[in-house]
Amino acid sequence: MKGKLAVLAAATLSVVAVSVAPAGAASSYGPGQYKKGPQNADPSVITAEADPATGKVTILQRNTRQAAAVNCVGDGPRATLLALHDVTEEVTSVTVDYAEAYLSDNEIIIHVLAKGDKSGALGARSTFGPMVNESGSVTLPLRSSPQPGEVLTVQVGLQTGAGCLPHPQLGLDGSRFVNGGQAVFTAVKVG
Amino acid sequence: MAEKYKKYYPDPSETPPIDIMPASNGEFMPPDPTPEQRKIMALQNEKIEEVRRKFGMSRRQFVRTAAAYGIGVWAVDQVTGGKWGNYAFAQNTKTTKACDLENPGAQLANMPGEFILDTQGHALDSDINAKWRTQEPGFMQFLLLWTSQGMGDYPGYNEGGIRGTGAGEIDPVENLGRYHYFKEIFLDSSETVNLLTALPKLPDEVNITPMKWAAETRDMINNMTQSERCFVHAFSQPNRGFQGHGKVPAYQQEDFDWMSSIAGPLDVRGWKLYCGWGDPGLGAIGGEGPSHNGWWFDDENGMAIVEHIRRIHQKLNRPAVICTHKGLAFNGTFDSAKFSPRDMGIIGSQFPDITFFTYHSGYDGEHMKAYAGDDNVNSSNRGVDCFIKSLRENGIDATRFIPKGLQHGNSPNMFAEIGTTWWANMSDADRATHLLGKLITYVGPRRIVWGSDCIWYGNPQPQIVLLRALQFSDQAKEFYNLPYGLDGDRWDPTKNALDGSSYMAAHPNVSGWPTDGKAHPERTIRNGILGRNAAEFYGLDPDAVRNAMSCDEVQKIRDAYILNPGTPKETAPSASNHINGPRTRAEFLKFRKEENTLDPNRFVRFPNGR
Repeated sequence: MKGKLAVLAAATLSVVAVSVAPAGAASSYGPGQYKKGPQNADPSVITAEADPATGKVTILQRNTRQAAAVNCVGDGPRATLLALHDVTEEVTSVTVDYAEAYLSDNEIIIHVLAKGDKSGALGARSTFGPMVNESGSVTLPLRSSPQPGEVLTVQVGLQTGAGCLPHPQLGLDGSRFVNGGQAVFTAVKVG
Repeated sequence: MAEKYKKYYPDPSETPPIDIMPASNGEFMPPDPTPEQRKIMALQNEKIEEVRRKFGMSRRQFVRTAAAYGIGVWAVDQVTGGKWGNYAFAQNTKTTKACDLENPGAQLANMPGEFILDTQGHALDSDINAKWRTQEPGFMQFLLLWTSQGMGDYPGYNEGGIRGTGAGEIDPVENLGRYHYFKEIFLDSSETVNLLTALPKLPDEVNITPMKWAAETRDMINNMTQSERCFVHAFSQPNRGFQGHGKVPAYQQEDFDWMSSIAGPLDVRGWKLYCGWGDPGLGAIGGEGPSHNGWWFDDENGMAIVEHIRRIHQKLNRPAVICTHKGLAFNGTFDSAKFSPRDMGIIGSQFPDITFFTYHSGYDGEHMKAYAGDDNVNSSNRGVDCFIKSLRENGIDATRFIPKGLQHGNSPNMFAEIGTTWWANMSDADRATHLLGKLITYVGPRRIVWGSDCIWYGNPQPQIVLLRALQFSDQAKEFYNLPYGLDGDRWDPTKNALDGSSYMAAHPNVSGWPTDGKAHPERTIRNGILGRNAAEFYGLDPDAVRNAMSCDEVQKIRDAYILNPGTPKETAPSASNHINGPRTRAEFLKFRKEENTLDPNRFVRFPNGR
């Protein structure tokens, strides 16, 4: 309940922030302002969903893909949201706030990347699980500032790689049988 | 061979030198051969019989000739050459006929401009008293199972006689030792220089390639040759004594001190890191066992070791290079998630003064196609596309560094190494073309480096011959903007390095452009991949090394050992020509039954309970 209130408060704050920023130059974005971003999922993925309305992202997979001798082929889950920012002045960093983060393993990550439609990629940052109902933020310093007139896209979400069953003769546990995560992205701040 | 020894030594294999049939390392049932694989082998066999009769040679002799390699390349091309690439012979010909045996593409002598620097050579301390053999016996089983060189028939296998294992040694580990490393790499292949790479495990004295042994091996080879044919780097890790995320591992400082202590005295040329090497020491606390406590370059342990390597570079003037395994999951042995190349772009952009060689280029068995596009790739997976995506997410892919007036760029500090990746894709010309096409586009024509992963896979020569032969189709040339394919000049791939007319006048955008009107094969993308790209980084002068080699002792041994050099009948009579390990279901079952490993309890636990 506490987490949900936090999400609500953050969402409210983000709406307020948007309302005071000049049109097209908002410095903070939140649920309701996001767009759905790219996602990945192969048949072993149970879910890879991002909800722009709530900022909630969920990924979950069963790691029953069978590893070969040295390989483990698959397309692990990724689900993302996009915040689009019309650049009017210098942007040096992007900060993403998250709440209610449950990440089952170290390799379940919150991944943030930024790119300008003319400048191209401006950097990426990750923060790692495991997390149990955690809140926090990820700050991504940009390699360079996108130029005024560009659209800065901030992509944020959860992702992990394809896990496999270990080779039965090797005797180790390999990937966990099921892993995944969930988080609510309460704000994307551009500054 | 004298008759009396025949019962002790296996007959040399009659297998063609380019053998693309399925092979198991003993861990898994080999898949049924595909129709394409059957066709390739049938074509080879038919043509080998035809030509060996023409030459008046036995099959056993003939399959060790350059001509047999030529036939193998032709057969692969006949079946898989297609839309994107095909296998002919370099020198810009369209020749694909098996009977064109004049081509030089298969000989052991180097092609014009060719300098082969293998950045991923493997061998191990095979001494029966090596500490790893007594203290970490699980490793031995792992290697014998995995490496085609190491495994094979066990003593007493065939007709009750002692036949030796793998490459013929009674002690199977010896197949992977110094002697076979020297033979396969320097005598039976065209390789010029080999980086003897390192494998995981600290403390170093229980490593299977301990630094003292590696340095001795290097010194032995270089003393024999009186030229620099071999160099080494060292394994390290930041997570030994893992105590949970956010805590400094118990042995991190000890291991960092050890790195500083050996870097100069042992002439360590960089560091080999395995993010997926989990630590069994204190790792079980909190349920994070070795399959889950590897590390990322962008976590606290990764940042700590990269910072330390930078300090060693600054204080001791050692090369600021990190070679790191990415891709090839080895699920159940390593923390395979940490072999995702997701972090390569992040660490590369944060440490522009460090050079990163990404081993395997992130490859993990995926079907090789053109880059799928940024929106379609999850950088947390393993795969060449994931490696490319990681560079692109962080703005250090080659397309961001295209000099003015040119059409191709190079990543500033990220190299793509293709050990195993090439081996796994070379049997299909289309897949091979996509692999190299996208690495050239996104990592750069001067940022791809050769690695064979041999002697794990035995002899590297089949891999070399097929890279010499790969040609891009017109469609691939257009798609990758490489009008001369791999024969393009690697500083400006829109120019043909094999055509003297490319070098009639100075290039407006490339300094040092030759203007002698001659072909410059040493400038091709192909020769860059095979060794000149890595040589440039490691500060080796390929032409000086080649000159020194031309009269070195190893070359003399090889010259004496090869018959009919430089001709289609060039023969390496002692070439092993053998992929060890079961090739069919029946062979697999026989192997497992006779090795007595059908009992799952017989199977290996890894060192320290791994």
